[in-house]
Amino acid sequence: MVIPEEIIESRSFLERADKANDIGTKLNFLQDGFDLLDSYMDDFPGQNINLINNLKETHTLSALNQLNLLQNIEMSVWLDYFLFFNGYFKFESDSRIQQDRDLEKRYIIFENFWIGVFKKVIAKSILQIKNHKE
Amino acid sequence: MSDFIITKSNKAKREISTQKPKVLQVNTLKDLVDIIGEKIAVSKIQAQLTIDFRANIRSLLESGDINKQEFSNSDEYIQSIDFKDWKPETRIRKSKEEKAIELLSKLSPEELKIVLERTTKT
Repeated sequence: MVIPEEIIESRSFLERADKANDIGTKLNFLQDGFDLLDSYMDDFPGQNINLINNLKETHTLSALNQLNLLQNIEMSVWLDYFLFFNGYFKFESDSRIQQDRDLEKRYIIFENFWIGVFKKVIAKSILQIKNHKE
Repeated sequence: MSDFIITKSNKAKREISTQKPKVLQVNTLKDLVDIIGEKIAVSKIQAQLTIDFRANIRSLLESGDINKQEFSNSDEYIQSIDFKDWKPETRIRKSKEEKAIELLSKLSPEELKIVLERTTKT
């Protein structure tokens, strides 16, 4: 089977993500790899779908397995990972987290690290908007 | 401003609070010069500015994947930058809330929606 160039390239990004030690660099490679897979799916709907799903699943799991590295991280890096796990890759992340209780616990620790601050500022902004309207 | 200064020694694993000298309590350059003289004041300030400038260059050297020795900036690129008008930046320590507001303001509408959905759910 001939593997399309786009998938080979995205696989190379995903492998570099696995190997990267810097968590910011790791996420950049992951996003580049996933973006390439998404654009391939847009251009060739339904083609190589099993391979693409396997790649996405494997590397989402790999990112989730590295949650231990994501403790005590800087707020901006935390937000990037938070958006990764809850954004375009939410389906892959959620299904994995639901299957593994240990992963779920680690994810909760990760999420709780900074989410409180965001909840606080968003709640404050909503209150200010409400007060302004009244 | 506190009249005491805390000094830590990681080597000895000790920490102590002592009286803070007047030279560390002044608020104007004139007061500093009055205490230590212009020559020492300039030399001390330049020593700190050198540290700040090197930190700036160091971040250019380290940008990229440091573990894989894959760097974003080549020596040639860094050396080609015109630093003649470089000035130190005043670092203002932001609160966690201020940082969060700043990060939220940079998000796209889609990303903001994700954060709002997750943070406002009961």
